[in-house]
Amino acid sequence: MRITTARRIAQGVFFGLFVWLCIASAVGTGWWQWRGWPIRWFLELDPLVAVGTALTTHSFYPQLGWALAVIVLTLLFGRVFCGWICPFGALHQFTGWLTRKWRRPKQRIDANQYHPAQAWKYAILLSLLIAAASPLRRTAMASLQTGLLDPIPLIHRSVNLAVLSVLGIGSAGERFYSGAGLIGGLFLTFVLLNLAVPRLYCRFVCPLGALLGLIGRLAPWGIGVRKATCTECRLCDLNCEGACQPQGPFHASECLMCMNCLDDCPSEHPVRYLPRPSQGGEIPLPGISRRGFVASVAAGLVAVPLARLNGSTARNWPAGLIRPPGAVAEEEFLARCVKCCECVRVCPTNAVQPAGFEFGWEALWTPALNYRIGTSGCQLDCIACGHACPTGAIRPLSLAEKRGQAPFEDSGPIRIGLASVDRGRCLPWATGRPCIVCQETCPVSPKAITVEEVDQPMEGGGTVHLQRPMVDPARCIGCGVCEHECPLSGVRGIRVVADNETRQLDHAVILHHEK
Amino acid sequence: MHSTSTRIPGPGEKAVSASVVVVVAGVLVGMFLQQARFSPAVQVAGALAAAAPASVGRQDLLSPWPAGSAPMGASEAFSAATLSDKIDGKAELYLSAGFVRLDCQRIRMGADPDSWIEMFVFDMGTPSNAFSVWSSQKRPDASDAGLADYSYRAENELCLVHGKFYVEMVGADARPSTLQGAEGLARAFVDRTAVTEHANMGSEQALFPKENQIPGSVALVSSDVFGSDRLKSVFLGRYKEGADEVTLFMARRNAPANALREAADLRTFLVQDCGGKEVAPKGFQSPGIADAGRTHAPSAGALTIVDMGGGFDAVFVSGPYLAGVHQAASQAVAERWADILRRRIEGGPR
Amino acid sequence: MNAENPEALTPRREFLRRGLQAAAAVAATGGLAAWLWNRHPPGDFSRQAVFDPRRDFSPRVGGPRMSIATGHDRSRMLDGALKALGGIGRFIAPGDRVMIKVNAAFATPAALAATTHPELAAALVRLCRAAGASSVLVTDNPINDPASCFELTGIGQAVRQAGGDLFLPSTGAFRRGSLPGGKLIRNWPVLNEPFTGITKLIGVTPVKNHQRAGASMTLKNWYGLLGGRRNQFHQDIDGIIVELAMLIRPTFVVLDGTQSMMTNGPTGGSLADLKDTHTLIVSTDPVAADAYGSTLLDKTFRDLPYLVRAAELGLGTADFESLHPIRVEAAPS
Repeated sequence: MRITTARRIAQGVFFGLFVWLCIASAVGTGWWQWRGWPIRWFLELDPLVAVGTALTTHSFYPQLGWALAVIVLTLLFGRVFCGWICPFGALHQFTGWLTRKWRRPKQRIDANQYHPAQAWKYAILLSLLIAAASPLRRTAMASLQTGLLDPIPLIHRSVNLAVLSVLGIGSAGERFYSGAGLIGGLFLTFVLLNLAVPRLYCRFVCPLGALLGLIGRLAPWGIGVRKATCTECRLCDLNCEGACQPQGPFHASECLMCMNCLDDCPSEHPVRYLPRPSQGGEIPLPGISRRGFVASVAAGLVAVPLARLNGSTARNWPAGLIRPPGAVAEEEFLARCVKCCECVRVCPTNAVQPAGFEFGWEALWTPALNYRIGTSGCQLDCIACGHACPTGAIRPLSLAEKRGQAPFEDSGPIRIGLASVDRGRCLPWATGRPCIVCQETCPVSPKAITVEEVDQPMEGGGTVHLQRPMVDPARCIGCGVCEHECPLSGVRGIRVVADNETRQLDHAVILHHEK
Repeated sequence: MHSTSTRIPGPGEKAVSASVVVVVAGVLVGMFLQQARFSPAVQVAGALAAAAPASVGRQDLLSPWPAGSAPMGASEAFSAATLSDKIDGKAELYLSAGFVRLDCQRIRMGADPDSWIEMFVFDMGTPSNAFSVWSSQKRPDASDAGLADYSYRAENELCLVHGKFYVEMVGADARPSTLQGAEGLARAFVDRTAVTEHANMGSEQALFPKENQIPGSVALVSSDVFGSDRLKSVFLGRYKEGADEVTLFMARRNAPANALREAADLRTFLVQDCGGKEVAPKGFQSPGIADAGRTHAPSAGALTIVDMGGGFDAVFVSGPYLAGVHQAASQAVAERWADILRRRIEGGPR
Repeated sequence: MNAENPEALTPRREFLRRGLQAAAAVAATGGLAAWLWNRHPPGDFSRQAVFDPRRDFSPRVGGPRMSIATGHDRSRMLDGALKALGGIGRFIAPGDRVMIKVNAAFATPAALAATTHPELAAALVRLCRAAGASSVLVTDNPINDPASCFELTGIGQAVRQAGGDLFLPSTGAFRRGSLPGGKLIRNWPVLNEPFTGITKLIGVTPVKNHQRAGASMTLKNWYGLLGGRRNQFHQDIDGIIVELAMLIRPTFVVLDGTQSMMTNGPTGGSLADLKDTHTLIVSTDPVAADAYGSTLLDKTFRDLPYLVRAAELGLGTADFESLHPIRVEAAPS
C-alpha cells in the first residue's frame, strides 16, 4: 500500500469521525447522540489549544494530554497532523483537489510555488502567543485569542453552528445561533478560497500550522531529493499541498507530509522521504521581514492591555453577559476559552449562544446566555456545558455542586445571574392584568419569585385581585426560565442580568455568610 | 490523484502504511468502546428521566370507552410534583385540597375528529376533599346532572364526585351531542369504579337556610378560609341581602371543644391579623344564650361580632358546630343572619 | 545549514545530531508538561492560595496602654499623650518603616472633621521621623477618588511637607485573603502592596457618629484596608468591624476627639454637626480607645454592639478605666 493511500484513508477516517462527533454532540443516550462519544477529542489533540492555555494560565490542563502526543509526533515526523489528521486541512485539500481539472499542469505547478506571504501565518501565531503570554500585564491573566483562527475550534464552531443547522442535522428541534451568519460566512470564504489557491488557509493563515512548522524543525526525517538523479522537471510541485518545493531549496516548515510528491516524481524517483537535510538544500523556516516581525510583536503586546482599557473585566463589566454555570471568573475565562462553541452546541435548550461584539471584541464567540432565543432557560438539572468544554473555561460540574446539595450545601447553588421584575412592563404591575407565569415556572424550591397580593380598583368600578411578582435575590439562581416564559415576548417583563453570579465574588448583591 | 503513478512502494513504506491503517482502525475501535461509557452530563440527564414517575394513565379508571368512541393520543398520569405540567397555575386549587393523582385521556366521540372530550380523573384522597374541589369549582350557571354522589353540568363540561374521585369531562365544544357523550362516559365510569366511601355532605349542606340562598353557592372550602391558614374545611353559602350579598359559614367538628378552639382562633385572626375591632353584640335573641357585652374568648352560646371596616363578621359555636356570618353590611344584618343560622343548627333542617 | 555547504557533517552524523535533538525536545516537552501539570481544577476557590491577611504590629515594649489628653491644640495634645505612654521612642525605633493609616474616606475639607486632621497626620509623620523611622507611608482606600481625597482634605500636602510618603491604592495593591475565624472576610481583597517591609502601624482617625454602626472610630478606621465592593458589608456592619479588629493589631491608635461629629456621621457636612470635645486619646488597645470615644458622643460602649462583641471576643478591653489611663492636660497653645 502506498503511503499516499494510507494518508487518504487517515484523512477520510478522521474527517468522517469529526463530522460524526459534531452530529452526535447532543445530550442523549441514543446511538446518534452524545452517550460517551469523546466529542472534545479533536480539541484535546490540538497543540495550539494546549500551548495557548499553558501560556495564559501557567498550567497544563490535564484533559489536553492528547496534545502532547501530537507534539511528540510532530517533533519526530513534522506536520503529519496537518496532512493526515486535521479535518479542516482535509476539507481544504478536498476542495482544492476538485479544481484539478480546471487547470493545466503548468498552472497547477505555478499555484503550488512557495510564496513569501506564507510567512504571515507565523506572524499571526507570534501575535497570538504574545497576547497569550501578555508580558505587559501587571496583574491577573492574559487573553486567549488563538481560537479566532485556530483551525480546530474554527471548524467545530462552523460545522456545529452553521453547517449542521443549515442542513438540519443533529438536533431534535430547530436551533438558533446568533451571529451564525458571520461564523458560517467566514468558514465558507476560507473553503471557497481553495478554488483560487489550494490549501490557501493552511499555507497563509493557519496559526496551528505555523506552530507545528516550528515544532517540526527538529524532525530527523523529511522530504528530500537525491540531487544526482533529479532532472528538475518540477512534477513534484504538481500536487504539492504545502507549496514547499521538494526539489529544493526545500521549505521544511511548509511541508504538510502529504507525500504526493513521492508519487509524482517520475522514473528514478529522486524525491523521497529521507534523513534531513535534503540534498537539494533546506530552508527550515520562512523569513519574516523585520517590519513584519516588529508589527506582530507590537500587536501582540498591546492588544490585550488595549482591549482591557474598556473596563470590561473591571468596573465596566457587561451586566448582560451571563456565562454558563460552572464558568470560571471572567479573567480566567478569557484566558481559557478557545471559542470552540462546544458548549453552545450541546446546550439542550439552545440558550447558550456565541457572543458577538456586544460585550467587547475579546468576548467574540465566547458563550453567553440568551433566554429569549432558546426553548427554555438554563435547565436546573443539566450539566452539559462544562462536560463539553475542552479547556476548563467552564468547569465540569457535578449536579450536586450545581444545585448546592451535599457536600456543597455551604457554598449553595451556582448562580449565574439575578432576575428582576420590570414593574413598568410586567402585566400585574403595570397594566392591572393578572399573570404569574414567572412564579409558576420558577424551578427552584422554595421559589425565588414570591407574590404580593393586592386588590386593585379597576376603571369602571370593582376591584381586580392581582398577584404581583417579586424576586428574592437570596434564592434566584439566574436560570432565566422566568424570562423565557414571560408572555411579553418582545421586551420581557422580568429579565436576568449577571448580578450576584457566584463565579465572580465582586458581583455579589447581598451579603453571603459562609457557614 | 495518482492511479497513474508507476511507483512501487518499498517494504519500509508498506510497513509504515499498514501500521498507520492499524492505528487509524485502533482509533475507531477506541471511539466505539468509549461511546458506551456515558459522559456524566448524559448520565445525569438519563437518571432524571428514569426517576420521573410512569406517565401512563391507569386504564382501569379510564377505559373501556362506550361504543362509537375511541381514545385520541396517549393517556397520561400526573403526581403532585408534575400536576402543574398539565394544568399550570390551576394546580394550586387541587394541591391545597389533598390531591394525590390525576389520570387523564382524550376521547373522540363518534366519527367527528373535532368532537372530543378530555376526561380528568382526580384522586383526591378522601370523598370530602373531592367534594370540596367540586363545590369550589361549581359555576353559578351549573345545573344538577343527577349522577354519582354529586354532579353538575355546565356549558361544555360535566363534573362529578364519586367516592374519593373528582371527575371532570371537558368537551371540545358545547354541542349537545358532545355533552351527551360526556354523560355516557360518566355513567360508565361510575358503574365500573368501586369506591369504599362516599361523601356525605348532606347534613351540613342541609342545615344552611334555604331562603334567599343564592342557588348553587354552597361550597366546601378546604383550606385558607377567609385567608386564615388555620381555618380549614368550612362550608360557605352566599345569600341575597337586599342589594348586597352576605356569606354564611358553618363547619361541624368532632367535638364542641374543637369548635370552641377554632372559634377563638378565628376571632384572633380577624382582630389581630385583619385589623378588625371587636364590638359588643346589640340584641341577640335566642334561647339559652348567655350575656351580651363580654369581650373575651367565645364560650358556648356567646356571639362574637367584629367590625372589619368594610363589613361585619359574626362568629359563634353551637355544640360541635362552628358557624357565623362573613361580610355583612351592618351589625344588625350580621346579628340577624347569625340568629337565623343558629336556629337552623339547633333546630335541625326546616 | 544552507544549500551551499551540504558536507558540513557526514550524513550519518547529521542524522544522529538531529535525532538527538528531537529526542531531547521530546523529553523537554514531557518535562515542561509535568511541571505545569494542573492538579487542581480551574476556578476552584477552595484551592486558591489561602492568604492569611492578618497583621500584628503590637508594640514589643511594655508600659501604660492608654492616655487621654485634653486641650485645644492637636500637636500639643499628641505630644502630651505620647509622653505619658513613654514617648514615641517606645513605639518607633530607628530604621523602622512606619505605616500611618489615616481616615481619608471623603474628599471633604478638614474643617468638617469627617477625615483625619492634616495637622495631626503631619505631627505624627514628624514624630516618627524624629524617632529615626527610615520611611513613613501614609495610606487609606477612600470611598471617593483617592487622589482628590488626599488633596482636598489637606492630608496629602501636610504629609509631604512633613517628610512622609503617600500611597494611593490601585486594584493591583490588593490581594484576596480569608480571615481565619471570619465569616465575611473570605476571599476578599485586602490592601497588601504597601505593607511590604512595614514594621509599625499607627491608626489615626476622628471621633464620629455613624448611622449604621453607632460610631466610627479607631476600629472602623481599618475598613479602609478593604477593597472590592465592600459596601456590601454594611448589611452586617457590626460583624465586619469585629472582623477588622481580628485582622489588624496596630502599634498604637490615635483617636482625635478635639472635635467630635455628633450627628449625621460619617460624612457630616455641616459645622453644626460638630462639638468641641477637646480630647485626644492614644492607646495600644483600639477597643479601649473606642470605648472612651463613645463617651464623647454622649454614649457608653454598651451602645455600640460592635464594641461589645469585640470585647467579648477578647480583642480588647472595653472597660478602659481598668487600664488606668493616664490623663494629661496639654498646655494651651
